Amino acid sequence: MATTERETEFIVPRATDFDGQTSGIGPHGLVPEEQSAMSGVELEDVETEEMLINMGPQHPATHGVLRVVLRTDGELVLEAVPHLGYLHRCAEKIGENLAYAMYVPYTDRMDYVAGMNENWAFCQAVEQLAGIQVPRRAEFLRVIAGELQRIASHLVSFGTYGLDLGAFTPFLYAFREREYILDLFEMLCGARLTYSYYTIGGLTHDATDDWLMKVGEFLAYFEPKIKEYNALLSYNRIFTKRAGGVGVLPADLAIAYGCTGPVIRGSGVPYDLRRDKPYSLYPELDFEVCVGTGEFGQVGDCWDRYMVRMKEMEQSVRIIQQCLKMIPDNAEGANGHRVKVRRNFKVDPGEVYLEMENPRGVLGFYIESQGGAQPYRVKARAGTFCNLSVLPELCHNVMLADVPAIIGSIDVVMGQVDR
Amino acid sequence: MTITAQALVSIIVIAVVFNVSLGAVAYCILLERKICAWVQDRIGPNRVGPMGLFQPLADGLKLFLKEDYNPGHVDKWLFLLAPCFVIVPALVGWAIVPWGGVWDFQGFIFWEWIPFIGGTEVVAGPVNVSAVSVSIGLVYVLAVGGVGVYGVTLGGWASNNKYSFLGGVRATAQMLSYEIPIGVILLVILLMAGTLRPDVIVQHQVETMWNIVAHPLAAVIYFTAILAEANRAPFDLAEAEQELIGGFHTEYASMKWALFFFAEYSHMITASAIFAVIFLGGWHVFPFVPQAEVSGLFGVLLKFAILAGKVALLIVFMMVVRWTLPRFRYDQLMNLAWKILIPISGLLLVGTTLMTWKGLDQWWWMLALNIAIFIAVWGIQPFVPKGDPTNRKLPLEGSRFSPAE
Repeated sequence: MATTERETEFIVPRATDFDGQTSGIGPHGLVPEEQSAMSGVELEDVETEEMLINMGPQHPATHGVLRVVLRTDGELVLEAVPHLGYLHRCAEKIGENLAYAMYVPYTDRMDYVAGMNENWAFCQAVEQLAGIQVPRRAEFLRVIAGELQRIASHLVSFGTYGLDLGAFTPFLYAFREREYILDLFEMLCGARLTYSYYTIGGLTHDATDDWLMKVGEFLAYFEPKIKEYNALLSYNRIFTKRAGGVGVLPADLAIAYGCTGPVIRGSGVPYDLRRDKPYSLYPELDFEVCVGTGEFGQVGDCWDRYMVRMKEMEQSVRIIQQCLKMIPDNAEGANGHRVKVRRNFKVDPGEVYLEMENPRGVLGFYIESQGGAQPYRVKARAGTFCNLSVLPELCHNVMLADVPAIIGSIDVVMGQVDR
Repeated sequence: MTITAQALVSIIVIAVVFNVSLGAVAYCILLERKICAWVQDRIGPNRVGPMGLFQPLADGLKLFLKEDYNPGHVDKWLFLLAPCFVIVPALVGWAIVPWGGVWDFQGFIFWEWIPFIGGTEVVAGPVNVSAVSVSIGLVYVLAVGGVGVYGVTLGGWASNNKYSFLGGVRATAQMLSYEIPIGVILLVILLMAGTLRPDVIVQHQVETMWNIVAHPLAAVIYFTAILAEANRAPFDLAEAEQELIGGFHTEYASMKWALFFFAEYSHMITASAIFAVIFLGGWHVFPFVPQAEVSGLFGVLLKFAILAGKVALLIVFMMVVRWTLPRFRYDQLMNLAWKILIPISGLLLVGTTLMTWKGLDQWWWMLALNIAIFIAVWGIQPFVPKGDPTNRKLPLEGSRFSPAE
């Protein structure tokens, strides 16, 4: 009867596992026949014991304070349950007590690797709610800064993904290039990580022509580097073996979980809000939506998600180059980069939900106003939160070493997940 | 009272090499950090002393000053014993390396006024300039390498930590698997030279051809295997930071941790030295050029310098590899050993045996054999049934989320 007990153990995840929380196993449980086929031995022959491994919140590869509880059988991970909340800072609740413009710095701290885009989403949502029209030059600068930030964010993702798979060097190359972008941002607004550069009605500072020229120089320097990194890491044989075919996320599963950004595009779904629900200047710009191809395995594996980011960096370069050509001169005088908005402006009652394509997925801001200078409710829909929710599905019957690979390919920033 | 010249030379070599090696290990760490920095477009340590040359001293001092902390949940004795088990085999592996070849030693008598040994006569005769001169040199390499596994396993087990445990298990499987290709390749070398004595193997290469030219395939397999034996990237699964935090030495701190660290580097030096001896012609400078024989003490030192230079080059190469490649996964590592390295080295052994038996043991025949095996393995590739392209053994069957085939 011992085997029967084991069978039930495999089929029905114990509800008391993992600190009394219900186990997050997906729709496909592990059945004993498959289990024995997997290890190549009969279950009766070898008695193995499962082990719970607590990975995180302090772990080198969980990208912040993510805690994953792994149920392992030797090197095989049967189940992974992410535990969140270690970086919760009540960001949404704080929004109810601040004027609209005062909340912008809090959005920086959500996804601190892509602060510009977070600012942008919030500011644009408020502008839509209050009916503010942003000057055209400001829109261009917003796109340039946002796409530069996308490159910087994808560089971090690229570097840390190499790190997750044991290649240390790409990480430093990525940070070398990111340093250029941060220098550009510093020239632009004085900050290097949490910019608060976007504000309601435009931008806090205008860009000089010198700055725009420096952006062009950076793009000319950076574009060939992407090919170099592809040669260095993306098509490295060990890397393709490690990332290809691992953590396959089927397209319908990705849609069902509400995954967005490179995660869903890696699964072959060409869903990009910049094209599908265009905002700002994107309808005027020419770029491609990159999707996973399954070159080294199946469509939707870790390599595809990684490669989508590499390709998107090229597309971002294209977008910025177009913007640099099209950007209008600052003819309207000193305030061409913003419209004047009162510091404590009041917004008529109403609500707005605006989504934007951020480096890590769709970031949506729901803002409800009841007529005051402060919003009644601010809700952020974080792309990484939905992307992370797919982790238990992916970390199912993978090797232990694949768990960091999968977490890295989802590319979470815990600041945005927990908010 | 008389002693043999061999005994005297052995004592001197042990004293010199042991101390030099410990210093070399410390400076290997500095070299590693420098090479890592250069690979990564950084500057590297340059604060302590000129060009950062005193950095190892500072590192060592820091490690000594750290608290020697034993976590409460460890097995105290085994926890203490594990670093010793790691460091000792890594150091004694040096013993058989023939540093200076054979030296025609002139006999002499120690001056009378020297205490204890005054008046002792040292008998003249040819001596091997190595710590010990044993006829089973290469077997000794295998034996010592086998002992090294215990330390890592014990360290992982005694730590009573799940990550350490997994690291220890990984290291055990990895080191055991990669000892097989090493052993088989050593047999190939044995067939070539007809002896297990390292100095005779070098002499054989000097007289005919370096083994790396005669057996390039074997050299590649051997180098891969020693990387895995030394737990170096891309085979550093036992201490894979991204998966197992620190692996088997997660719980170690202070000098106990430093011993693991030292062992890794001295293992590298030992393995490189043996690689240089059996494949790179030891103290021979150029493979196609006959070398003028320099006799006397100067010749011995020259040979030592040449061999040390080769070792240094190999170590630099290992370090560059470490900072270039991603890490293998556990099953890929096992596949590499059992499905690729071991079969090919077996083929090499069989082929070398047959050809030696038929009298075709010149180096060009061996080179032809290597090329033939390489082409055969390459040509067979398309016909080998492909395994599952992924490690995901369940294709989500029956799920509405099953990927489209």
